[in-house]
Amino acid sequence: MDSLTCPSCGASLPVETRFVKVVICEYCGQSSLLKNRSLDPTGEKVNLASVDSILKIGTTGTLRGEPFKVLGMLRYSYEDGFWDEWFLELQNGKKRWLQEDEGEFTSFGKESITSPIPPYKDINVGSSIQVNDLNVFITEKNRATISGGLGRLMFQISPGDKVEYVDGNASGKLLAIEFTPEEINLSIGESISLDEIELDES
Amino acid sequence: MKAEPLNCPNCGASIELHLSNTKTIGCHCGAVFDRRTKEMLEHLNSRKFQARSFLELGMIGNIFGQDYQIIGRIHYVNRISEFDREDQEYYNSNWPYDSWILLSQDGSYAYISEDEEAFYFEEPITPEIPGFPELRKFTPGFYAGHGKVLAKETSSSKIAFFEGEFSWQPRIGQKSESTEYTFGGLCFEATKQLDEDGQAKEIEFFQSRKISELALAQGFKHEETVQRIFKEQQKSKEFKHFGNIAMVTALALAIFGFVIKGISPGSHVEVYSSEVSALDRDGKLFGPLNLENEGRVHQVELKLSSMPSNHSLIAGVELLDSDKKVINEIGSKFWIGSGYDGDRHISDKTSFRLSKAGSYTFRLFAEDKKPMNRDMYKVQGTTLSVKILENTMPAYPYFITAFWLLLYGATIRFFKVTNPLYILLGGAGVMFLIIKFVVLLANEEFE
Repeated sequence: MDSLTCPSCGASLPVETRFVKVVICEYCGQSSLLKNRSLDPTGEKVNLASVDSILKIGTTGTLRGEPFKVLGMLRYSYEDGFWDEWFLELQNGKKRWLQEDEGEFTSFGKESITSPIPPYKDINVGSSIQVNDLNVFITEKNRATISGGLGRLMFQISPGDKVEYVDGNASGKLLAIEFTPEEINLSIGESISLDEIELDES
Repeated sequence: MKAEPLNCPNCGASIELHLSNTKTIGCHCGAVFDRRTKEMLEHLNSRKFQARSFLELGMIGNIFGQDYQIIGRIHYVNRISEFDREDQEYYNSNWPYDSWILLSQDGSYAYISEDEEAFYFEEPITPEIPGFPELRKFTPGFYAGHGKVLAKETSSSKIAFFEGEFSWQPRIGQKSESTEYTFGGLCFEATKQLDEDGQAKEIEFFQSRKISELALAQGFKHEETVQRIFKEQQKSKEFKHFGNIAMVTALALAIFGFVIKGISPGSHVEVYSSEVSALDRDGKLFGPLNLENEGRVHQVELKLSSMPSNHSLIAGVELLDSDKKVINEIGSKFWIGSGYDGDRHISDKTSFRLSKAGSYTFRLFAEDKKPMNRDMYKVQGTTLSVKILENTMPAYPYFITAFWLLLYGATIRFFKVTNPLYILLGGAGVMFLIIKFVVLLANEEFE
């Protein structure tokens, strides 16, 4: 495990996985790009308000029995508040996002899009659309802003960036489609109850 | 659940916060302000929308095995369209209710919905078969997966008031649409949040179950309410016995009425009859008949034999004493109707107590009324007869009293009525009937 130094505050920031591209200092909020085993402070410095959560950067435990470690966190804000997405590394090296919104957790994995997705403006809450081979009932449509992040992430974030998103339900599977000017991301997941998350004693 | 103190910028009241992501705070004084900036957003009329039950912000309790704290209340005014399956019609009504926001120790939310009739405990769910069941005429539901979703009612709500802390910003007048539906024996609610343009921005699903006020009061350890409910239950139990007694008495009265009817048909005295075609409005005299038992109840029954459909007839009998004075009479319109609303009235009777023994005569009369344009038309083959019976006892006062007593008792018993005014007024009504009939029976002043 490498340990790097925050170029802004000098804090020691361990980096355990080779997929990490961005490190956000937990102490000063400085976002840095990981280049040639050193941190380049290219991103903005954003201090996120701390919230009560069972998770924090570095937390380990099991998700439905599968061991995980929290690497990073992204916060999105929208007109009605905000939600956090925890970036988890599973024991087998796979990555998951654990969304936490008002005490409810949803585990998401990124999926490839294999069929055309209607434009954001044509999607309506309460209607159904076809995504890949799934018939998706749209439950939410909104715009959000990336407020900031913490820890290690696989991509660079720009706080203040806007995203359009729709959420849906396909026979109990939860879908999140994120529209940015550059790409459309599809994530498919499941609702997770609290007793399915077990944390190691720290 | 940790609490962080904060003072209301309007009234200065100390407010405990329990969420780390609180965005908006509604103080009990009606002030709504932003948690971070303390900027006043609006001022609500808090007096107008007082909570109706014992529930209040900050209460900690255990509901269905989970610890919760009440952190907010939203008062909605909604318009309900309820579909009546029997009538196949919608019925609209306005229905205010409170939604109490509960925060669990692990940060999840649940809600208590309280209207003037009941409390419901609601938890957010992710349905396996999502949809927004809407009531449509004649198809109040839809088939989904393995069963039929039955929509019970749909409503559109507006936020009228709120207090407490919220991770979002409630706005007065903010609209939502909800449908309550049942699926697989469980109760669900789908709520569509609307934006300012009336467009749906989110649909949330909840599973709801009814919870009694007692269970809630016990859960939140509100001793005063628990004691009040226990007292009410005790009172209700006592009144239940009272209702039972009333119903048993009603049953006894009805049985007595049947017994009276069975054992007291009256002894036959005489029968006179005549072809209607042989009668006119002046009538025909029959008798004389000697009635000797003074003080006995006598009954006179007037009856027509069958008559053509859609005919009517004015017919009657007068009982004359030896001085040709009428001492009792029956005069009535008799008819037989046919078709959808067809019914018939071909007999009538009267009772009287014989005050003086003597010789009596009976005048039978009849007047055709149908067909309308034939004044001289006479119903053919119809007989008007009068039967005189002695020693009869009428049963109908018992049946009428039994009916009202049964209704009174059943209302107390099954609707758990404990309102003393109802008990008193209802009881007084039944007593009035009983006294009236006792007096009538004593004086034989009935017909």
